[in-house]
Amino acid sequence: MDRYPFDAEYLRRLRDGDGPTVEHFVAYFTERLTIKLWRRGLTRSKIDDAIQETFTRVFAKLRSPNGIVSPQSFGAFVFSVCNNYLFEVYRLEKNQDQLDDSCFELPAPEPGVEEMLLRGERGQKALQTLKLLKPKEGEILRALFIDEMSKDEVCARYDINRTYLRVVLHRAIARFRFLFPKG
Amino acid sequence: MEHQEALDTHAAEGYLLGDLTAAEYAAFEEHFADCEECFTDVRDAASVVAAVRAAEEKPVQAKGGQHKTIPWFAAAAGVAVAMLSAIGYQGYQVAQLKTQIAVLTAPHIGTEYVLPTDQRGGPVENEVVIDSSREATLSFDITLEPASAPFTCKVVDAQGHPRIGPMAVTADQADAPVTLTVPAKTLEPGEYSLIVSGTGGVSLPEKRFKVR
Repeated sequence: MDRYPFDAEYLRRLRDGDGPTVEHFVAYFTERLTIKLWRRGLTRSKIDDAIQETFTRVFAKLRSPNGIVSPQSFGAFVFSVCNNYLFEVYRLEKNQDQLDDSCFELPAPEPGVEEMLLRGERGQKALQTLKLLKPKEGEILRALFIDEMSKDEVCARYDINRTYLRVVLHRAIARFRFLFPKG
Repeated sequence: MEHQEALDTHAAEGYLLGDLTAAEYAAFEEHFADCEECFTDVRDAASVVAAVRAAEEKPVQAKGGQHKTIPWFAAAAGVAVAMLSAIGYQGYQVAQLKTQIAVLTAPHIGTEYVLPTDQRGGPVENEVVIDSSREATLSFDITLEPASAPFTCKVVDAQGHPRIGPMAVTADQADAPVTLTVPAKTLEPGEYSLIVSGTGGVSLPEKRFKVR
């Protein structure tokens, strides 16, 4: 397993504002938190706000007398700080039902990003790549993410169970990764 | 969640499918916060979802011979493009962030505008108005205590929505005036503020400017 080796020395450099370490921290966690927050269905502006607030709180904790106790669990700590912030926001917005025990659905398309409709070249590459997938894989991906059919409906239509649905997605992703034009 | 369990259960795919319980979801997030392999799986899966949606961007012939895009697909593809921009393929995001940080200290060729040090909500004597059609360089001082570094800088619009950034500035970088590039046509005409904050809840008064 390839774990990033966070340690006490990394946290010391981060606390002291060492440039390369700060850059690494920002890049590493912006990417991860962006995906995490997108999965929660947050808009781009809320994602930016949440990341900034998370970073601010992490640095405050780093500089507090207690500091961070387990450097090796730094990634999980940053995520927990972000979660706490989200809970506060949800409480403020009286929207706690977003954090119940049900599964999280993929976020719905966000009308506010229509101005970003561009970069057709990437879309064309994706389209070409999709054509190279096995027909059944392509159909299932479209059913899930374009037609937004429920997972149960997709399983029933293709006579597969939920576990196998993940396997199909896993294979499609692997093939897509391999076939997607590089550069 | 242990790494082997994540692999055995195809947790990355379950995460993207929305097929994990809240407990599994939290456990897997905690895991991929540190695990490069699982995070790569999640990022690539997200890229596939984005690409599938982007592939549905199909122009249709509208009255008058102009092309337009079906709104629903437009929105979906917009998300896809946003994802591809935000998440990126093959580490695009990391490279972009490094670029964003680098522009803070790099020499610039755009028109330079100096934002006053302290406006404190009072009347603005020398209003800064930048031309959206040309690249602009905003120059400003960060007068916060170095102990509250690193600082984050972002440009927000009149509704408070972030438009540029947030970007990190170290204490060393803040020793000199900090510059932030606004590429041409990035901001629409209107009022904007530069917000600079440090750790511990400290921040500079908003530095306001207009774009025409």
